[in-house]
Amino acid sequence: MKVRFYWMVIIHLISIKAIAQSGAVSPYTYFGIGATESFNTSRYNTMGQTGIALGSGIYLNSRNPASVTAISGSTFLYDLGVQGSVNISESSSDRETRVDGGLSNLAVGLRLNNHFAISMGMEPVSQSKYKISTTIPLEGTASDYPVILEGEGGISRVYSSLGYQLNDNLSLGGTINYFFGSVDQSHRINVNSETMTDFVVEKDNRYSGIGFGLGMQYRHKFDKNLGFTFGGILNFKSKIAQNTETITRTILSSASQEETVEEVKGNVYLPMETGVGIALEIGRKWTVTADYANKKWDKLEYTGTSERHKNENIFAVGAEFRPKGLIYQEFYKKISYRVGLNYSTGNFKIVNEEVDKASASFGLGIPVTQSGMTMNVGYSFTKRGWISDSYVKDTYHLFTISFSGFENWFVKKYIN
Amino acid sequence: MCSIYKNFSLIILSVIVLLSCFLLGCEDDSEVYEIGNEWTSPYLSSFMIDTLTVKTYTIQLDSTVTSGQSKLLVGKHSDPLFGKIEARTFFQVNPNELVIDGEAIYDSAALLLRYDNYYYGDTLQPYKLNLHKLDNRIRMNSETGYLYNTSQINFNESVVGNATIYPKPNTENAYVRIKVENSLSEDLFNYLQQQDLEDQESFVTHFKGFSLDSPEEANSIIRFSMEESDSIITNSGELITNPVFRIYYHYQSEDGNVADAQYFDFSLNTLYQFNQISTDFTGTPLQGLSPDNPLPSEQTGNMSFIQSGLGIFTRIEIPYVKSLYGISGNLKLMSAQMFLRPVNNSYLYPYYLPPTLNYYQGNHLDNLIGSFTDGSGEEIAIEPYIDSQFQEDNYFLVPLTTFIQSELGSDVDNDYTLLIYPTTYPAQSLDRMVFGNSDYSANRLQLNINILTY
Repeated sequence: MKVRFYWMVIIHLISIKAIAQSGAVSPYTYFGIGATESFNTSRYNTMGQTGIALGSGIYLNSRNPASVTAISGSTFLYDLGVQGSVNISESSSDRETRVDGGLSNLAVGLRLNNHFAISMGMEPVSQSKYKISTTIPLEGTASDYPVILEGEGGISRVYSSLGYQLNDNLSLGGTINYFFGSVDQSHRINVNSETMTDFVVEKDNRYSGIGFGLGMQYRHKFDKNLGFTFGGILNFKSKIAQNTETITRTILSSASQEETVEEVKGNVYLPMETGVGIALEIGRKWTVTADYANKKWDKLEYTGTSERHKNENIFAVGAEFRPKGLIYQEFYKKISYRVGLNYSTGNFKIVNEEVDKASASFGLGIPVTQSGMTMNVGYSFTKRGWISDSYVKDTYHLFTISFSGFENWFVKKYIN
Repeated sequence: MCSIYKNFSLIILSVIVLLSCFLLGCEDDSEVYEIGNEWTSPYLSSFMIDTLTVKTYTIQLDSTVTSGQSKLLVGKHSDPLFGKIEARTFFQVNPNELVIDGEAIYDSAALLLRYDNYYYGDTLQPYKLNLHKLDNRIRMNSETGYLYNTSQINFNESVVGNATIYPKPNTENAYVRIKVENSLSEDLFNYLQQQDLEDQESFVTHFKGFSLDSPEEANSIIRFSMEESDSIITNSGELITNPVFRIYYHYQSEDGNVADAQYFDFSLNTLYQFNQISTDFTGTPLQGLSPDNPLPSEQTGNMSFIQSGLGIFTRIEIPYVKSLYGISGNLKLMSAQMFLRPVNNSYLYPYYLPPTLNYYQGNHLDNLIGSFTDGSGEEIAIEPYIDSQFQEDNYFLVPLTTFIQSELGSDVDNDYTLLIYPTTYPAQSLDRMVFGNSDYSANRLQLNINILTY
């Protein structure tokens, strides 16, 4: 019971500060609802953010709902991660380093019966955090005003996935997502006139919406040492209600403030996503996988920012090596080694240029108890953009620690 | 074994909670990315609007207060723009003591004046000053307690003292001596010797004061100060501090020689003193101007006029401020400023630009209803920007943000105006200025309003 009490403490903690508030800090998160990524639990993140064709009896995989059928009958799986990041943004004139961190994800799952298994969890969908200094021209003159753009927030999802295992080869799954979150943006112009010092337009956006996804996995064992999995996912375009509170704030020279508040309702959308993946199990020691996904951003528009959205293509490969194989009884002696690469074309163009992104990731799965808890440590290195007059190069170091594992809680009941 | 791993789980979970708290706490918000404005699109736009209608008028006040200013303005000047200006000063004098020793013997008398650092017109010509005796006492307007440039006190036409001088304003140790007729001053001398006066009131009833003017058109108006200044000692060893009416006397010595000269002073009363200033606009652009008849700048060559002593100032109307909301309902005024450009050649010698201008909020009756202050609560005095290279784009920059802001923010069209004066108002001086309106090509009035839309 104490364990469950702790879970509640943690969930409570998460609800205070949404998961999505951590992570990416970059001027590129200025656009739309922030930077979106295919977030997953730690094992898959360190395998190049793959997972469409992967499944595991130990590690929950939120990328493909069909994968939950890999959970074995008597276990309750969990995964809880925290992350810390160091981002270095370089422009032609500046170099900025930022440190950030927080909870990254939470997932639980269990098998219901021979055919059905479910998982639930929470993870980020988009993240936005930036502070940009720029100018706006004073039309009709050659001068301009300094403006500071700031934003923070993101969208998270709470999901529940249901997997259905038709037979040993084929699993199907569906996910229902509840998207929620907020992105608070402010634009502050430094006026410095006789009457006021600054004028701030703050847009506090609140988001909530429902989305659906489907997944399938087909497994085939060629022989004892070679298995093959094909996976596919389809996440439908999701409409997310956006409730924007626009607060204009005049900072008077006397240091007092004047405020007006206006509320506008609108919608933003998450794009339809299709993805396919293959994975090979070689012996008990190797898993190698490759994913391709496409997100249809091109018709989506976000108010407030002028970037042009384009369809995003994501290519990912990953591998895991377990030197001693998957023998549960010797679990605590085992360390898993994970590696992956991920390339995304990005989902927007700035001044007619795509801003793409490539990352490499490494991870270890270290068993910490005999009963099945693994500590996953991961590091990924991401490069986005490049240095020129209009662009910024982000070098992004992400450190993750997660704890995943299982408890044979149904069995325990009998023991107790 | 079960409890061992349970405890271990608790430890691990505690570590996570602590670690996450730590990581949440280590955000670093101080850095700002400097990025070109190509790829951001702030929901703010800013515009400079310089097309708002501005109407200017030349206005004349009924009168301007000239009493109690401690300045004596005297002279005549023919100004091509403001006509034939005449200034005459009136003042009461009070004996410093109520009694003169009966043994004293009258010698002579003079009015001694100190130049102020101000004049108007040409001071190179010889200059005549005439002193008259007042027939009536100087009495304040019973309602307001002031006297004005238009006030009149009767005086005797006959001259009781005169001098011809070469004015030396701005000259250290310079003073003016106006010899006063013995008939008048000996009479006052005797009066103070014989009467046993108990108060000043009795003296003023007897002698009401002087009026000083300049009989000929010397084409300049000079100013004398009544304020305390450094004492000077004349060549004859006489001490002069404040301006005085001075009677010289001596005592008969026992050995028959003439004893040392002594003097008895009458101070000029700073309260009961005022300047009368008038003009004749005939033949000038301001012909027809009167308190009842303001002149729009279109009728005066696209120029408007300011002259402090005559109570002439400029009224500025900005009638369509609210039309800015036509640009956007979400509008924020950032700043507004007006360039007042003096008309070229209007301030060549002997004229000059006023050292500073003041501006006020006025209503439709041209009454002052508010002033404009800076951060420390001081009234804003605007100094000119001088184009030191060509002297052709000199201007006064009038901050108007608070004015435009209140016009934008008011629910009703209150049609407030701006009234522009030289800072030396009220009339201690005759500072003048002529500036172009928005149609005057060379020295255009310009209202620049910077707004934000969001």
